[in-house]
This record gives sequence, structure tokens and C-alpha cells, in this order.
Amino acid sequence: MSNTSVDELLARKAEAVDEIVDVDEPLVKLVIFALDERFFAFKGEFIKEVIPASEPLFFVPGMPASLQGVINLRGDIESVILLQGLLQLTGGSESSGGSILLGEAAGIRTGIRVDRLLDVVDLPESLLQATPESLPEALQPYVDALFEFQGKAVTLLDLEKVLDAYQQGWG
Amino acid sequence: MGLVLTVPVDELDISLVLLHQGQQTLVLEASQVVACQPLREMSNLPLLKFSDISPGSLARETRNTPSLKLTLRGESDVWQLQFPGGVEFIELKASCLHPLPPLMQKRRCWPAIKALIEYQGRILLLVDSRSLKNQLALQS
Repeated sequence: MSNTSVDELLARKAEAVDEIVDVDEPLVKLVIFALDERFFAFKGEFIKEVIPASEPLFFVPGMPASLQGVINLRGDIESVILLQGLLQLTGGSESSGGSILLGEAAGIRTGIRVDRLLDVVDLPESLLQATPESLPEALQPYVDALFEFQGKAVTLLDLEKVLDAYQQGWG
Repeated sequence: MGLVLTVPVDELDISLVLLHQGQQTLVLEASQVVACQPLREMSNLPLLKFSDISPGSLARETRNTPSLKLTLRGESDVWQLQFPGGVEFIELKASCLHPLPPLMQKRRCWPAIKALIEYQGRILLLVDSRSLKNQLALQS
């Protein structure tokens, strides 16, 4: 049986500690969804609840087309908005399927209609990439980062900026 | 010192008038409605048409519906609203009254939109007759 040197053992233990540190790499919870065949995400800390599309939606006249109506969520009335206009995507105001994400940011709480909820994941922060300059101009003010999910590019949106722009009349 | 009993706000009553138009219903505070009469009755009060702000689809739905004339309170006067549909008086607990969600408050296109009313499993729009007059006058 060969002896292993103390130095080697110490080095391997140090590596093991390094590995543990790697496991503790900060993670970010992301809610990934599809809008108009593109993949987007919000940080999980801003999404309070995912509501099925079967929740009855009540149309409210006198609102912009991107404000679909309201839902009665256990006695609390919440607005439901579409982001296609703000993000300049082609889908739109007739959307009634998918899911509703209940988001809260910029002092506003609202439902956000998405075409499909894809996943909720914990992603190492190091996998978030800076936004390229080639990003469509309409998206640039609202994008935090890009990352890859199941081989597809996902755009991480900043919900604070999105809702701030929406309440100022954009979209 | 006398005993003061405070009724929880949600248990207070509110009196409302529902305006049914096609599949839609708008709500007014009953205290803002002075009278309701058939359109043919003559009056010298200013008359505004609700159809000036209702979407085209509603206009089609209510093409053959007889119009009513509601006398409503304005800022400091009374005015009349021509309305194609039915009218209903109800009383509800204040728990059915909901403030507009903040986003709707900021994005509303109708200044007269004031609050939401939960009634028979639906959410209805409460409008303010004083603002409605100004809104209709601007749009007619």
C-alpha cells in the first residue's frame, strides 16, 4: 500500500474546501416564461404567485388595450396586463391562455399574462451574461441579463423597470 | 362618557344604481342619481349620450334597446344621461367595494372611473357622475 504525503493530503483537502465554496456560489431564482415564442424571465423575488389562466378575468372598459381586466384573487382585486406592446412583440390583446404571473415591483402589484410558464429554476449568478448591443432597441431599457435554458436564449427582464415604464403610459 | 360603538367599515351599507347595457354593467352611487325616466319626457336639463364613450360593440348590442334618461348630480348642478339599457337599484355591504388597483388608477382612459364593485360573482365598474359629465362633454 502506498503512502500519500501529508502535503498531498493537505492539498486535496484544500481542493475539497474550494469545491464546497463553489457549491455556495450565489444562486438566483428565475421564473422563465414564453411570450410570443420568445423566452423571458423575471427574478423570482418579484413574482409572488403563478395563477392559472382559468381564473375568471373581468373586462374593465375605459382602460388601454394592454390592460386586459381584473381578477378576484381570494378577495383582492388585481389588474392583469399584457407586455407585448411594451416589448414590441407581435402577439397580443386577445391572449387568454397561458398563465398569469402576479408580480410586485416599483410599488405596483399586478398580474402579467404570459403565453406559457416554462420553469422556475435556481441558476448560478455566474451564468447570467451581460446584454449584447445587438438586442432589439425596444427591449434594451428593460433587460438585466441573458442566459441559456434548454439550449435557448432567455432574456431576463427587470420587473421594476417594466412596471415603472408601464405605469408611466408605455405599452 | 358615553359608549361609542364603531361599525367595521366592511359592514356599512352602500346604495348603488346599476346601469345594464348589453353584457356590460356600470355602477353609480345612488346618491348621485336624482331621477330616471323614459327618454321621450321633455326636459330643459343638459342631455349627454352615454354612447359617446361606449365601445362600438356595445352600440351594436344595444341598437334596439329603448333609451332611458337619468338625471344625475354634477359638480354644482344636475344633468341628464341618455342611456340605452336597464337600471337596477341595489344595496351592498362595503366589503364589495374595492379601490382601483394602482396600475388602473394610473392608466385609466376614462377619468370618471372611480372604483370596482364585486357583485354576483362579477367585477363591475363604479363611475363618478360628476367626472362622467365632464368626460362626456369633452368627447361629444
